[in-house]
Amino acid sequence: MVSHVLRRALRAVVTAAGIAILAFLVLHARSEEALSVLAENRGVRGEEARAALRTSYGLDRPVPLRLSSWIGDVARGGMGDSWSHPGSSVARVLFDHLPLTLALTGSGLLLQIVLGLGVAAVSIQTRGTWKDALANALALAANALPEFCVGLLLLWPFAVRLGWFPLSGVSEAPWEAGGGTLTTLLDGLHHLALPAVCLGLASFAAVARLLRVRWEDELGAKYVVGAEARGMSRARIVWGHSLRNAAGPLCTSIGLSLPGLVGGAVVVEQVFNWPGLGRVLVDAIAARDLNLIAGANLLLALLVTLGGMISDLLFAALDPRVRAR
Amino acid sequence: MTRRLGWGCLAAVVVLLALQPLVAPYDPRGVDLAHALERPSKAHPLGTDGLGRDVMARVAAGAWSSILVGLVAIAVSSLVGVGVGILAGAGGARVDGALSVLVDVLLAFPRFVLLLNVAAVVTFRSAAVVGMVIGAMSWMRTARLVRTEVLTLRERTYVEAARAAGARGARVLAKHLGPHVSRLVVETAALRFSSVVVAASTLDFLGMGLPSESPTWGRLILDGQSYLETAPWVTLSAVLALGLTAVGLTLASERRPGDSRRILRRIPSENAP
Amino acid sequence: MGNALVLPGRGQGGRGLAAAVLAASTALAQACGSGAGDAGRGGAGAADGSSATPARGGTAKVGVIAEPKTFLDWAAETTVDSYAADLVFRRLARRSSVSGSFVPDLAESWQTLPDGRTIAFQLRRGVLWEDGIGLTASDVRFTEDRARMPEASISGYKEAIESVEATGSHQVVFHFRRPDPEMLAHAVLGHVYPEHLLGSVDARDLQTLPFHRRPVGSGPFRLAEWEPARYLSFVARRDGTPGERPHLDRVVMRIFADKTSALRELEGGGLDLLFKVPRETADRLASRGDLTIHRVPTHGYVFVVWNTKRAPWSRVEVRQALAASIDRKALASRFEGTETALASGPVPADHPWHDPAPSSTSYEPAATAARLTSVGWRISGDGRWLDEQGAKVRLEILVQHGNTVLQDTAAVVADNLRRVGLEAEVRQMDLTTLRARVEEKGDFDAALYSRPSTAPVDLAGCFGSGGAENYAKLADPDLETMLDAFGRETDLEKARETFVRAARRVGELEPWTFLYYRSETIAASRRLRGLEGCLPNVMECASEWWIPKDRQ
Repeated sequence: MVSHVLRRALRAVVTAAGIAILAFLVLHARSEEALSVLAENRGVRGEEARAALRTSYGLDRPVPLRLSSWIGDVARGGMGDSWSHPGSSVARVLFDHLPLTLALTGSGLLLQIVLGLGVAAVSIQTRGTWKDALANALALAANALPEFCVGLLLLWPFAVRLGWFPLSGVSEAPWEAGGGTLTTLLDGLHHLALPAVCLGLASFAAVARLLRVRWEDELGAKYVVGAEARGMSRARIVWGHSLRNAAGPLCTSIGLSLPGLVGGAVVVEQVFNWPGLGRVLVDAIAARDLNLIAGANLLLALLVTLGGMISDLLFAALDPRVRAR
Repeated sequence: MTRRLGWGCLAAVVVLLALQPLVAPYDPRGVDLAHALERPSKAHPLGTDGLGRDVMARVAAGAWSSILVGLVAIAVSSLVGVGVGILAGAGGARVDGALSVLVDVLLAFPRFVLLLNVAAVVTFRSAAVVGMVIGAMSWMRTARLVRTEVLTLRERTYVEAARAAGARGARVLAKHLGPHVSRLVVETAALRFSSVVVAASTLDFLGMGLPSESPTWGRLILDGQSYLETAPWVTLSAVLALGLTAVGLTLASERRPGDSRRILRRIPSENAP
Repeated sequence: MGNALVLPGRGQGGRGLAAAVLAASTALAQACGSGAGDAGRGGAGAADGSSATPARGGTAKVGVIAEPKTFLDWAAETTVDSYAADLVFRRLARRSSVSGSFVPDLAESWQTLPDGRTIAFQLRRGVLWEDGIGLTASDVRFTEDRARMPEASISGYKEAIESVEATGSHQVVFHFRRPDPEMLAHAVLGHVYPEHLLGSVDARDLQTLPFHRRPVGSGPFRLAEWEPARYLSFVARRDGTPGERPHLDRVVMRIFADKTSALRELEGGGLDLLFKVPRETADRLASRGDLTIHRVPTHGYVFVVWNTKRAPWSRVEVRQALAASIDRKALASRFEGTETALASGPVPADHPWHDPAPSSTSYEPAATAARLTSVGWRISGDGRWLDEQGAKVRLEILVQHGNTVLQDTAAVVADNLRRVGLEAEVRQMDLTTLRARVEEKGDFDAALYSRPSTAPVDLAGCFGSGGAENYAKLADPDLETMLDAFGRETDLEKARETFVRAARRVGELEPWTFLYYRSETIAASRRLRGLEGCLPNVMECASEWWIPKDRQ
């Protein structure tokens, strides 16, 4: 069991590393153009000054050397220095913003499950009627829309017009001391609400569909007939064993939805001014901070692959049929 | 019923495109400072923007731009996907292994983040280039599906060939592969088109897409944000057009529940951005 | 005093004239410089219309788009960096308005020496860095030396300075390369940094310096907290300068990803100050009772650059015809809200040598047809111009991507030109590519540029062949003669005549079509007072801001 987990973890890390290296090579293929942007931003003119800048950023070395040097930086933990955040290492910048992305993605995931469950339940109860089709259509529509549209459609009525939710950011006046942990927590959740709902809405359709199909299957299984005969209530049957059995593959589906979720989080962070890794990546790209982009890619890739691994393991843990194998 | 809703949405967009030259025959670049930020009216069915440009004309221009991007992207991703899929399926275990690893690695990463990275190094000179770049990030699922088809077909072909000696495996493969693969490409085209349009408009919204004067839906939404209070029709028209297109294509691709079940057992969900 | 001319660095002449000009500006500077300390101290409240005395306490919230990256001018990239530095560091002196007098800050007085190339500053005593060490002349000398190193982003502005020496513990002397009426502005540009903390740092280690995130300053505030991508919190210092303390307790800089979310916060009451507010929004906000909009015209302007080395734009008649087809008054109205923002030439109206006779072409689209036919063009069947060879005339206007005002201006200009029958297109590209194509390769038809307010009037640099900012690649023999003569002129009145003639010649040649002057639009909440002392660079006088007790 332990060796299985370790092997999966290794595979996840190697996959993430593979992506990060691929992205690194792509970025450094046009490093002269990046240097032009960096020089322009710093107001540096003239060949001499530009050459000095090139050396200070290590862009005068051949690409394989830069790659191995970067790998060394990653192994040492700092991931190199950030060019657009002078004085900070890449790891510092990334880990400052990681918790916020985790919070957003995590709550997005939670809402994805909740919404998926809800819509699947509605589908099950109203099977075959127009309500079922409508629920399905709405789920698909929310999924099809780009995340920034969903975000704007949530932001404008609820935050701008009605003022029920804050307009942006993570918390109110955090520079003012005072307010207990509970108030801070509630305030944080208040700010997290709309972005998380946005993410959840944009991604729950797959969960709903999978759950519904599997749930239906389970409800048609022989043990259900037996349970009914024994007098178990309908509610207990629907929400008890059959759901638990249907939920197994859900974990895999959630794992598969992680790339989309993380990609969506990047967009949602822009719309709601949520300063997570997505914001860091977008700003780093604008500033051509190649070190920071490389580090952000690695971290995001790890998030996705390790998350997928966890969901697969959960699947194995939950579904006795898999475990028995 | 879902599919009918989808077709309805698409029909609405087509109607908009068809009507525009009749009810709003303006140049999308045509500035008219005296009539800036005007509400929708007979003269301008969807109003005007901050420089007096007709919104309906700009939304229609955005539609054509999206169509171009979508078609190019589908062409590129289909070509590359089919090519890689055939190579993987027919090229032997080593080639298959290597390509499958590549596909897995690329699929493991959020596609949009990959797109952002590429946007950092590529200059988007035209809508076609945007289409090519997005297409180059979207071939993976097609490749997987084609590979499966090729492998299944190979099984059967060898069995047949074993029975009817003399027929060359490769030609038989090609003859049978054609219709299967084209059917695959066509069936997934609508969904892929939708996800391409969504990806392109998200890029534009973040300011990283096409840097030209021609309006795209994402740019219209971005630019209209500053007038959201006083002139919401600028943003909302583009949101509506984009929404109807994406939702319409997705709903229209919906299969009947029975099909869903079969497919769910075979492949993972397509609904990632 | 204002932005006086910059004498072109041609030949060794001009001393006599320069000395005369400088003597005049020196006298003015001295009148403003020594002893006129009231603007910098605890602030009379009369300027803001109410005669209330400033109250102590309160927190002001400033909105910025993009996070400050550093407090060091040498590594600074955006105006946001300088906003942050303004709170924590000081300059030798600051300007009370765009063309206003200089107000002492670290320097309490200064004199220009008779040779016309030297300024001596006397520093205020008792100014302390946050770590308790006193600020001295060696800090100024060290800062200036670092600022002139090629890797520093402000080294271009400091080019005119030859050397800086500390002649006493509180005496600094600046030596300039040539006589220059802008000397004072060049000298006081930039903040002063502590030598005892940064002096031993190698220029190559500059990237990784902790000082970027944990500055030690001499200014009215100190950095208390920095939550990345969220906010920076600055608290008032009590011990920075003798007898002086900001009225506010705290200034918070809130970071936003884009202008729209910042504007939302401003309207929702979460911000007290926001810079560069777009015009339409500013007009809408102006009617609100809780916000004040300050629009400060600057010397910066937007202009079209024509490539005079490429046909058909190489013909002056063509350039003049096209310039006459652009409705500049409408542009000024649309983008600056008033026709008076119209820019008619490279010399601003408050410049002592501004030529009242308009030299720039006025809007006459009807005459364009005649002008263009006179150079051999004709109109085709579908209303488009064909040149002498019968080919359709195409014009591509390059503009910077991401700047809404410039993009929209370009769109309007292109539309104006299309209306008179040209095939005009706008092409947006990122700034680096734009500069490379225009300035290095000269591969363009026309480009839309914006000139910053701090850039001096420099006819030779902008229109003389070989000039660093001669984007149009102009090389007119008559103009060259005039600029040469101007550079060697020693008599003030003759120099002025030559300058005016040269400026008129530039107007005739139309290498640039000047569109409109830009203003800085600042939105401030009514509760924040004390901003009027140093518009538009309000961050520089943050120590004078205050909030009434009942609004804190």
